Amino acid sequence: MPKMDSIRNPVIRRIAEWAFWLVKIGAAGAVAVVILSVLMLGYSFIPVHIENPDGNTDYIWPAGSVWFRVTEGIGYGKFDDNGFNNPEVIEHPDILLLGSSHMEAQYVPQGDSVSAVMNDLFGGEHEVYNLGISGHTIFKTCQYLPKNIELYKDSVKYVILETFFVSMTEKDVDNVLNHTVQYSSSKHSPVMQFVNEVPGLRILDHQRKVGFVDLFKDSGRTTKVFSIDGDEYSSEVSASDLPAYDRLFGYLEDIEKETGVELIIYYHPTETFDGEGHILFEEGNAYEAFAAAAEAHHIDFVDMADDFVRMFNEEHHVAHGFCTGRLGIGHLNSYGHRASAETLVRVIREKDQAQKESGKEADADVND
Amino acid sequence: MSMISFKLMGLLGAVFCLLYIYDRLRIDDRLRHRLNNWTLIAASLVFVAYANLLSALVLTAVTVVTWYFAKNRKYWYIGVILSVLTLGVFKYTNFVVSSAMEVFGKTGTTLNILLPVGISFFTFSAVSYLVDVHRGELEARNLEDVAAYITFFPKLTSGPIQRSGDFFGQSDRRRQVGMQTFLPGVQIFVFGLFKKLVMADRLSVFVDQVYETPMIFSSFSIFLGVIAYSFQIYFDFSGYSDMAIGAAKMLGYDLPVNFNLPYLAHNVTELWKRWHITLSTWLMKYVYISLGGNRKGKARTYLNLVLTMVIGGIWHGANWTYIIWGFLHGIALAVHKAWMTLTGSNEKKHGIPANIISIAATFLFTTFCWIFFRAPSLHSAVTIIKRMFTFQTGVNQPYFWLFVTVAMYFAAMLPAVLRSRGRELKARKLNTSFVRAEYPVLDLSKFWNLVAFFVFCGLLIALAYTGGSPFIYGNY
Repeated sequence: MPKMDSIRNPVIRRIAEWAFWLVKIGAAGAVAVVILSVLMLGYSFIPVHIENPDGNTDYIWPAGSVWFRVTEGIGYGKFDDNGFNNPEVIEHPDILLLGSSHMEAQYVPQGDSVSAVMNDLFGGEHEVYNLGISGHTIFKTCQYLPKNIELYKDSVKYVILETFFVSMTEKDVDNVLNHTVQYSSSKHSPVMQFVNEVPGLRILDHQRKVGFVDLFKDSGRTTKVFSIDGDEYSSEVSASDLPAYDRLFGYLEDIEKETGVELIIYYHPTETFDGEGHILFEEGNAYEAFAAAAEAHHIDFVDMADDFVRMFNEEHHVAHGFCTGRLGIGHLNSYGHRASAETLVRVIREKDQAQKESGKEADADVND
Repeated sequence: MSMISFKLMGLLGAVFCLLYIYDRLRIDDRLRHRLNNWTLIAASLVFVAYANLLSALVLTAVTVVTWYFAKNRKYWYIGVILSVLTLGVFKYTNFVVSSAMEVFGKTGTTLNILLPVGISFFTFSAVSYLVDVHRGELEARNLEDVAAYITFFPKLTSGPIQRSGDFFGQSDRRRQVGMQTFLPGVQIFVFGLFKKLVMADRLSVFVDQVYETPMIFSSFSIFLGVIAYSFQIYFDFSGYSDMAIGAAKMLGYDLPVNFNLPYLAHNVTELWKRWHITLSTWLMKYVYISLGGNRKGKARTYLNLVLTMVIGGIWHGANWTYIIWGFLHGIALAVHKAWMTLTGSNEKKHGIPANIISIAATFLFTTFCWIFFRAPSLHSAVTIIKRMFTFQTGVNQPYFWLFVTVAMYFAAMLPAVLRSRGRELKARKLNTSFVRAEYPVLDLSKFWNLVAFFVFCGLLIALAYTGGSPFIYGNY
């Protein structure tokens, strides 16, 4: 401490001592944030998202920026020039992959994502472009569907819409049809922008959001249910909401007819386990309504449940959850991505085959 | 009121401020002593009453009974019986009734008696005080002193169990309460919080799943889960103890150290000198010695060891799993004692390989015993053991945080091991290791120490598991 003895007035001397301490604490705090930021580069390093000028998602990531995280799973990669999680931009993709944080796949190495594995498996036969973005539930991807088809209208043949839940309400579908699904803005206050740009502060803010402060409240020390994107989804829907399914799938069927693009809904339910070691999935009327509406409106519905059961029984892998947390809870892991990619590739090849055969039949009819 | 809560921090802050003010008032030392005592008693009763009023009433009743029968030394044992009976009624009635119903083939609802907060630990304090007064090691105190000792809130819910003489020795003298107690106390508290929120709670995620659904995991994953529990319970309980020690330190009291790198123990005897030290000391002083200790022949010594550990097991909870856990430790202590007597190996010096083997063997034995401690039932424990030893296929889960935690444990342990090397060379007995854990308390008036402390706090927040997991010893 600098010498305060030269200050004769004891009150002023005391104030000066306190002021010196406050400055010292502030400076130490600032240095600590710098050190913490450096340390966080090896734990959670995600850039700050920005507005999407093309308007086909709420936001995108800065072009070419790298990311790394071990907060849930161990994931790393580099965003492409369009700001999506692909090694590079695919100019003329014939398959678009739209979805939530599961498809954004920031929880696995970039090469393990559904889109990357699909591209490997297709080997040039098809080109899959991943447009997955965190927080983009099935409602948001449905809302942005026309825009995405328009952007890639020259090449796109299939659009895969990912979902991890099958419940919906009339209000959800109203929002899709009216383009009023809640928007995630990339505009932040200057303070929040600063917090987001400093890794050491950003991780503290993230922990605040996911409940660190709640731990110190009396209700906070009970085990919480994990939910993706901050919401919990029920397996049951009320009778008054059942018409919503028909409206949403009617909307999708219209798009399919207007554009000629085939839509595939890909559903990956999360697993639970019973005491005997069996894998279970939630059952309810939401699933039945979803599957029935898809069939009625001729939209392909790919349910991963059976593939996940097979993978669990034969290979002893679980599709959701990581070595950093609880199995069956959280995002798709590398095994889940691979199983999903294999199934989707198989489904698309079957559709290709069916189209070829129907094409041949049509030619034969013309020749006849 | 949980040890991890804003309310506790508020209470701690208020008590600290009051003690700080008393310390600076120009008043008679006796008056200051009384003000300190009553402030602590009031705060402790608020701490307990916040959970439920019954707890505060039981605590008050046990305190008054202890004071009364210690004062009337002739009937001291009635005080002990009443305290232990109170514990028994609240802790074991449900178990006895449900076991009796099972034996007689009856069905129906059992009594659901609520366990008063901290009863297991304040009963220890009460018994310790009564026995010490009876043995003439201590003069009987007035109600105010006895209440301050038994109810002292930092140690109330899960220890460390402080000897009455130790507490009175500190409360009788003029203690300075200020930055010199606050800053080290905060650092020890945060150190404990880190152990709890970052290490123990992260491990709890994996451990809980392994014990809930062992059938989905491979033998290797179950083995990792069982190992993970060894570390989880250590970080959970020692973290709590650190927080209690830190909180008491802020108020000018030194609570005894409860853990001293237990997984460095070379044998079970040493383990119990390093694990939950205050409980094992209490059991040795008030149970083992009361049973006759080693004064009644070899066979009786071994029996006393087993009985003491079974009582220690039952103290943890009314469940066969705890009884087996205590029994296994008792047998191991007896076998070790017999081995030492037969071979005289406590006089020998051992090389590094022998040390490593004995540490690993002790750790594996302890870990095996923890299966019974953690499993919700005997059936569940047997399932875990069977699955672990029969090379089952299943999901492999190399849990990331287990490896991180073990790495952090070794990194934190290394300085203590290196510091003690010189001392260890002088060790004459195998069961006396000279490795001593020390709290990393820094002089926060120095700038870089302040930076290091802030970085540590930042890491605590950044790495904390926010899913919530209660203290393991909160149940006992």
